Amino acid sequence: MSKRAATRRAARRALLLDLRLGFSTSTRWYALTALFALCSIELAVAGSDFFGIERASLTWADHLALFVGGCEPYVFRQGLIFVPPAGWLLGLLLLAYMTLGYPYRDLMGFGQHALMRASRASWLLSKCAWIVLTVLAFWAIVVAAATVITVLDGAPFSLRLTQGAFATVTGLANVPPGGIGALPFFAGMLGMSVALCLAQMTLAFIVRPSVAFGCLAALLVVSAHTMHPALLGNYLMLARLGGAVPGGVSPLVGLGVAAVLALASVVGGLFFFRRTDLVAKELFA
Amino acid sequence: MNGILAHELSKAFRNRWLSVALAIGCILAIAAAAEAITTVDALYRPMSADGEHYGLDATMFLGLSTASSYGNWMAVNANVPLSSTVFFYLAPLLTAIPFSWSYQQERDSYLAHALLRRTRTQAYGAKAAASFLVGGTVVALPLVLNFIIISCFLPAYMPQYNECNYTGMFYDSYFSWFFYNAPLVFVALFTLLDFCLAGCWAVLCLAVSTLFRNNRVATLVVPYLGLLAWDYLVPTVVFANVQGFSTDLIHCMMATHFSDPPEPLAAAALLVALPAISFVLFLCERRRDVL
Amino acid sequence: MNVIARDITKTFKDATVLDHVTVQIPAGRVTGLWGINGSGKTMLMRIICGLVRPTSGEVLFDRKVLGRDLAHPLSTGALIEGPALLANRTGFDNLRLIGMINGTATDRDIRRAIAQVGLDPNERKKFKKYSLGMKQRLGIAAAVFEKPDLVILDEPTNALDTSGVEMVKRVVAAERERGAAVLMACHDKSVLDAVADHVYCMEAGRVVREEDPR
Repeated sequence: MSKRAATRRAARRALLLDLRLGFSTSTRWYALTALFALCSIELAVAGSDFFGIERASLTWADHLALFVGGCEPYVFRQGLIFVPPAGWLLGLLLLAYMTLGYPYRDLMGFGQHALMRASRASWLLSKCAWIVLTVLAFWAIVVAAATVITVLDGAPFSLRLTQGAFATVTGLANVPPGGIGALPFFAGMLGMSVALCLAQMTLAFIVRPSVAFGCLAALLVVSAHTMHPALLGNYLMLARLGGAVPGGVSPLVGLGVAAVLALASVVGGLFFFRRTDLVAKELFA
Repeated sequence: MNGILAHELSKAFRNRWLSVALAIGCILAIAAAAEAITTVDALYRPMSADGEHYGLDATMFLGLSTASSYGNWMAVNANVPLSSTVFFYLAPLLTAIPFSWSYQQERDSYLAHALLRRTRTQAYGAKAAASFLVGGTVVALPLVLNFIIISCFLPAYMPQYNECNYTGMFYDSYFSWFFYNAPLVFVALFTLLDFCLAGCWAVLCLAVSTLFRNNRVATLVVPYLGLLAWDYLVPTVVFANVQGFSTDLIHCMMATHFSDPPEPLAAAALLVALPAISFVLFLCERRRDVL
Repeated sequence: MNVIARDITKTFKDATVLDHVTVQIPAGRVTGLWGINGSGKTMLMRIICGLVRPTSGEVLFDRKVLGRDLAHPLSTGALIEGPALLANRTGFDNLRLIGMINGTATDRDIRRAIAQVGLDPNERKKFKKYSLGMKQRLGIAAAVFEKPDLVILDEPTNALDTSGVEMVKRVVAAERERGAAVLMACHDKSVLDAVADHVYCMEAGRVVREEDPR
């Protein structure tokens, strides 16, 4: 076998090992995600009663989107403090945590075996692939939870977002009677969550995992406060969806920004890895 | 006990991660001060330009409280700078960063030096005390810095109770009597409260680290996620009908609140519950072998 | 101070790591533990240090039982499974920090101990930059700098060159001269034969043989 072919084979095996090791250490977190998704969607849908909305009128897309319902942007008023939406923050930070620890721990520990047998680039790309798959698995669990609640509510399986869902999280939305298509929003949401997790990974290698997590938490808090296309958390919030909310962010723009961010994270990570010495640092997070 | 405490304090305070956490906290405190000062300036400059005076020279609207250093202090937040919100939401992470990971790092190796010379109770107690002091410092120092900067730019008008809607400090807010009668004492008391809450949180993170093996990311992040989960689920599910009893650590560290001001018992409950949980976790850890 | 580990047994779930082991460590003598990897030497040392509780048996320090009469070992310095020191401090700072706990060792004691193991007391390099051999030397210094009554050394010759091995022999001899009780584990029998007054040979968690090499 040629050296190149051997390296490619080693890289493929390293990826398979990553998938096995990475997922086996996260099983309880997936279980927790399922539990949280069920609670969160149920609480959001139950809260729609308060706004005079019938549960059964909310579509499947509404149920799913309410997992990332969010809140209206903060309007300044003296003496009224800003409170970020706790459920939205918790859901996204849970995803951030699930993609945070494994790549860094692998670099400091077991992954050094892989680094001696395959190239650094293939190691990093393997981690990126693991992150993408973890994010997909996370959202698949949320989709499953939304589906269960939709079935129990007897709600329609439609990919349209209705006024009812928006009314639960914001008083600003103006949705046409037939609703608006949910696919662009979900695509933007998926793309942005992948991009942010990749950026977190790169930052974790360069600085430290806890600092990377803190930066992401800060970004989400600031995004919840202010509606602006540059604040990336806005693309992960139903209450900021352009086309429904005046001044909202466009999910297609979000998809584009996510693609650029993801590419920059991977390229930045490759650049960093090529130059850095892989010594056994203290394993402090 | 003095020796082991000095040993742990030396490790805790001569520690670059304390510098990192303090730097982040201080940057946010400075940013919050800058935001508050510019907001006050932006709010009142047009009034001055129109010939309307504010503060002590006002003929119509006094606006003392929200233009004062006390009203604009980070914990009170009358003009709601975003940086102070970010600070309080990051505070549980920042307090844990300097020293809460130390037990987990030392358990398999360095801890033996302490356990050879002192009992486990003394060793763990000293580590918890150091963690408490460091965690409290990470929150208290930026609060003090913020107050000093704000005081350099905004006058120390006595807050007025009839402006409570603008400051968010109502009669049942924590230490509100001091805020309206002896505001400097209020600043000291609230800083002390935040110091204690942050310190207790840091000790809890240290105690939770006994549950994780070689996973320091979990030590810092999992308690934070737990805190957010508590903040989200408990008011909605458990205390849905109990107004004001919010045991959310983040909001207990702020003087003003979104809806009903919390019961003082809530902060007191936290100051009892957090150390109690930490104590139980350490008690279980005391029995384990150091391998 | 005379130390006795009497009838020590330690089991983890199904595995018996130590099986009715009795070891005496008299003052002013060097007691050796010899055995292959996994024979239980390190576990026994951890039990004597109070880091691990035995399933049965007791450790006595001058007839006081560890865990009953004593909450922690009396006057003990140890190097177990490698030097455990802080990465971002110098060697001197590391020892001074440990010395804060008892408050008995002076800066002079620390410098003397560091010099004794062949390192420079004024070294400004941080511990994380030390070579493996330097780390091991500093670990030995950490075990002896407070002049404890019991010195426990687990594989002290690991990562050391010939001069390092000679240094270990000198340090152990000096501790014996001082009147300390020394317990030393080593897989290199020749080192134990050169320094130990009495050797316990361990196999599969048991003492199978005792020797008096000197």
